[in-house]
Amino acid sequence: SEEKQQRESFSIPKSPPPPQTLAKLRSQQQLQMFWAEQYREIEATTDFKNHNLPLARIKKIMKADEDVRMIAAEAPVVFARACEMFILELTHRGWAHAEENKRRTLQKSDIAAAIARTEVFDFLVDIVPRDDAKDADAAAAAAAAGIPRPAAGVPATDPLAYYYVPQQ
Amino acid sequence: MTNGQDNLLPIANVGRIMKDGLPPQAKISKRAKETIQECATEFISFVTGEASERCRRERRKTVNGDDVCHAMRSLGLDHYADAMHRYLQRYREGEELAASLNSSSSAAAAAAAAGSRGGGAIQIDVRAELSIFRSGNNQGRPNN
Repeated sequence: SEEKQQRESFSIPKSPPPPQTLAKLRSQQQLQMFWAEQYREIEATTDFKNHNLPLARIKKIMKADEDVRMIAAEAPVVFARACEMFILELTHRGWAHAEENKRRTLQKSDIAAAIARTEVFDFLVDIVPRDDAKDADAAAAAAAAGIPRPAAGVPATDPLAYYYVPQQ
Repeated sequence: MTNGQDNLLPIANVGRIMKDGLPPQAKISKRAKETIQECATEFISFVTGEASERCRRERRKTVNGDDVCHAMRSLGLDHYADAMHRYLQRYREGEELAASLNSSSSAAAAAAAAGSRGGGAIQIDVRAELSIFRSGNNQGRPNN
């Protein structure tokens, strides 16, 4: 865990624009808080019979894998909780992207951006259509290139500025 | 439901969980819900594939909770592996406790059943031998 944190600190670009750095640091802090909260909730769990996701459906999804023969009762229970955390983490990361773009509605492109940014979610790149990932990448590229976004509520003075980036 | 929907997690459950993870003023587009619905379903398939592979290597037929946790670790999902390892421990502790309570309850039920099945002579013998039954019988009298 200490090593991971060091790796995370190394992954931060050396000289990014300050607002970007602050946004990223805040996002990382929020994720750490998210996981601390998850561990706390798991430690406090007393009810293992009611789940936010149906066990029968989870079992059906597991059985879609032809190599799966028998499933212990505890396996869908574990997945129900793991999936809940997964949904929350992806939603959380997606929301960070929506906030960066000053929106209050979580969009598909926010989820795509979250997946594109998170290495352990590489297995999902085929789930999200390329268009959404491309839009997210374009937005990320624009941010990295330092192209300023128009202020909230102010129309962009140059509508072609956004499209200029993918052509590079 | 269409065949496709039957193999996905229910979108209503997914939507509720997403809503819990966001500030009250946040809105969620339908396509965002659908995307996470598909992603969560893929998450189960992805981890299950790794877990069943481990079972195959070890020549076991049943995918259990440890296989799922181990699969998450192998796939780099370290936070999930740590959290679920602990969750599984606590789940099993709960199951063992429930089993021991159920066992006591079963013994009492069996004793009661034996008592009720007995004929006159046998019934007397059973009552004489089982202190629990006698105690229960005594407690029952004031209620009549």
